[in-house]
Amino acid sequence: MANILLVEDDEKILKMLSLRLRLKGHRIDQAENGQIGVEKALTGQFDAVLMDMHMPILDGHEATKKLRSENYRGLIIAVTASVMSRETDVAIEAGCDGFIAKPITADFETRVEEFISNFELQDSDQT
Amino acid sequence: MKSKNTLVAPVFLVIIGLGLLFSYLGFLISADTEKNKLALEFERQVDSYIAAIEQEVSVHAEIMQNLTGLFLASTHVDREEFKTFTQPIVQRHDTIQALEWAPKVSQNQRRHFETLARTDGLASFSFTERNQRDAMVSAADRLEYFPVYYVEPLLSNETALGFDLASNPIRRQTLNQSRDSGKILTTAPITLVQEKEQQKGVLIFAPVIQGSTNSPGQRRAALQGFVVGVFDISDMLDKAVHHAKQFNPDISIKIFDTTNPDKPEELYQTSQTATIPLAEKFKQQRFIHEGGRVWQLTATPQPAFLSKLAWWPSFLILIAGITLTLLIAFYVYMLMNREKSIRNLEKLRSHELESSKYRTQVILDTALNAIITINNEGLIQTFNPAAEKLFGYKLDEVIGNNIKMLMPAPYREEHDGYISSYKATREAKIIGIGREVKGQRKDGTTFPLFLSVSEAELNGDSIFVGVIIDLTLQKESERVLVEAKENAERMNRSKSEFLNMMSHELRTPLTVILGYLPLLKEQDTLPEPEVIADIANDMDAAGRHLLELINDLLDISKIEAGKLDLAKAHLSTAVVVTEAINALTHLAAKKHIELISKVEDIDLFADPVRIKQIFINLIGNAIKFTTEGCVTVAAKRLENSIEFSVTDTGCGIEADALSTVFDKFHQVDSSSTRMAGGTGLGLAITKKLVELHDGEISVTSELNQGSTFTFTINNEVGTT
Repeated sequence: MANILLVEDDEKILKMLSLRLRLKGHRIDQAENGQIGVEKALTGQFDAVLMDMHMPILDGHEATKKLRSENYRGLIIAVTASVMSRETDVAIEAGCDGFIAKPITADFETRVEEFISNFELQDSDQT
Repeated sequence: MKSKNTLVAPVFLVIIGLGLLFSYLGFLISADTEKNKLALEFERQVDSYIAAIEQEVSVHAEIMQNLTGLFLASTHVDREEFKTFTQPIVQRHDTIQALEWAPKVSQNQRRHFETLARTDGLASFSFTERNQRDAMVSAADRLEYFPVYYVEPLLSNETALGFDLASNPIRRQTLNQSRDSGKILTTAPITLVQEKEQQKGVLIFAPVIQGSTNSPGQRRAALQGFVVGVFDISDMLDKAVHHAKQFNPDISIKIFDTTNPDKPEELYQTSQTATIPLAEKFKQQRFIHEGGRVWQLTATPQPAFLSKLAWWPSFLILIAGITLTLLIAFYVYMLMNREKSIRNLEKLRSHELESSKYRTQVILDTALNAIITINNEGLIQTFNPAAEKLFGYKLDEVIGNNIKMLMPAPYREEHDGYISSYKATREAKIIGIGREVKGQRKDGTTFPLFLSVSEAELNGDSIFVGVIIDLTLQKESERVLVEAKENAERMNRSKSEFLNMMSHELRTPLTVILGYLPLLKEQDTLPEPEVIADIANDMDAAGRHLLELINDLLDISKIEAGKLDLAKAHLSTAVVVTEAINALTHLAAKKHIELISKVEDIDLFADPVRIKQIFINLIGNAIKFTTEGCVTVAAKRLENSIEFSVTDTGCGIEADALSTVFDKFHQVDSSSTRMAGGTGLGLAITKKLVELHDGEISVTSELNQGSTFTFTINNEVGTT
């Protein structure tokens, strides 16, 4: 069970992702752009933020950078359209902890859960 | 030049002409002088002849005078006394043929005288005369006789003794004249009685008149008789001539008695050869007056005399003159030729100089590059036609002005400093190098140019030669090239961008579909039926969106490749708009939006499928961005086209986004597009379809009030 923030501008994809994760028992909060995502991430308690990179108003890179600059230490996973492009590097540089490629596959929920448990391990090691 | 050449011949001829003339004149003068000298000599000789003749004549006259004195001094002179007195004289003078005494004898004294003579020993003495047959006969009776009474020498003169001198008319006439004048007179030449050879002689009569007499009558009465001298005139003259002080055998002498000019009689003549023309010029004629006669002496030089005439000084002068003339002429000719060849050389040189100058000028005039020279103060000195054309100034507008006038602002101010700094430091920025600067035309416009400047020395001063290449065209083509390159790059960028966006757009519905699928694949973990239905709806919408996208992409690529052919037909605007509205009524109704057509029925010639697609795109777009209100379609007939408008009451478009609404994937606001749906290609396709119908599309909008899309469709039948 984890609290997850989905930041995604396409409502159909947002709906699909929410459904997938909810069916696995996770609690989902949604943000339709980077701006809202940043506000929610800073105010809420999330085990992970799934950040779409292409968004209007404030895209995933900017939002991640902003979160990191605000000292947000939580897990941020980039959800990118292409794993082949430089986009993944850009995402890591911006401050993301990992990335999941779109279109998402059958093991999407598992991968999110692995990121969360690995991140918690790291976090507990550090503390 | 020509006149100087033609001057040579006349000058030359004048020199030769004058030279020859003077030589000839010198020759003539010299010859004349020589001739005069000879003539003078000739004259002197003739003078001496005359003197000799006159001397001889005076000797004889004196003899006659003396003899006359004998008779006057004595009352009677007898035969013996006469002989004693005359014999030595005759012996001394061989020219004296005879000396005679011829007393005046009246008719009645004849007998007495004849008798007296016979007693003197002259037995056959009688008065005689010549008859017509020239024979001696006894003299006829006449009043007065002048017989030859005494004669010395008697020998060879016997025939003359007794001959009546008055019997002969010639003698008689002279006797009478002598008696009347009392003078000693000479007869014309006559044939002597004594001479066998018929020699020419003259008689000289000297009258013996007793007492003083003043008139012919007194003298006639007092006349006693005549003393007669018989002279061989030829001998006498010959002797005189030969005894002359300057006898010259080369002068021929002729002496004629010309007392009667009509009947000259020869007295004496030397032997003479043929006369030559020149001799005529020397010929002298003199007259000797003797005893009432006139003797004419003609002296003619013989060729031998004339051969003494010295010709050589004259010929020497002539030859020397001609030689000198030729030398001078030759010298002048040489001088003139030399001058001529010098002039020719000068002409050639100046011609070469001219042609070289001309060649340089032609090069400057025809050079395509502007060539300008300035002095070291920056003042323009030459400005070729290409420069005139390039800068728009005429030559006389720039000559003498500072080169700065051809430069725009930054260069203009720097130029003076540049020249003076170059003069001071010899540090060149352009001179000998060349660089790109700007020029300013007469009309104030500027243009890029490449200036190369070289420095030259001319008459000790520096001049700067500037060659200018107009870079306007080059710059322009550079600009066009850069623009084309940038365009191509932009096109390329927008293509990649388009591909990027397209892949993103295609991926989004696929992500939805593929994202749902794992939920439906495991039978054991299938979601609730209502969830499945929801998932199916979403997948359906995503699939249809995907299809829509693919169709739009095909359309746009077809149009861009020029592969979309219009199938035009005659249609009604009202019908087309109604069909489009009907197709969207369902969509509009869901949002409670009213669709209004204000389109009247106008005949339209266009592709019905594409026109309907334009309306569906525009009306559909309007519905998407409108939350409440209505969408209104209107049409207006223009000259060759129909203008349609689609107006909504939606959110409107921000002003700075208006220009990009027709670009592919350039949604005004992605989120709103996503909310409204649509591919982002609709307006791009619409614009291209309008353009295919020779029309234009534009948009006006007011934020939160709505937008109006206006487009025209060409309605001319026959256009495609």
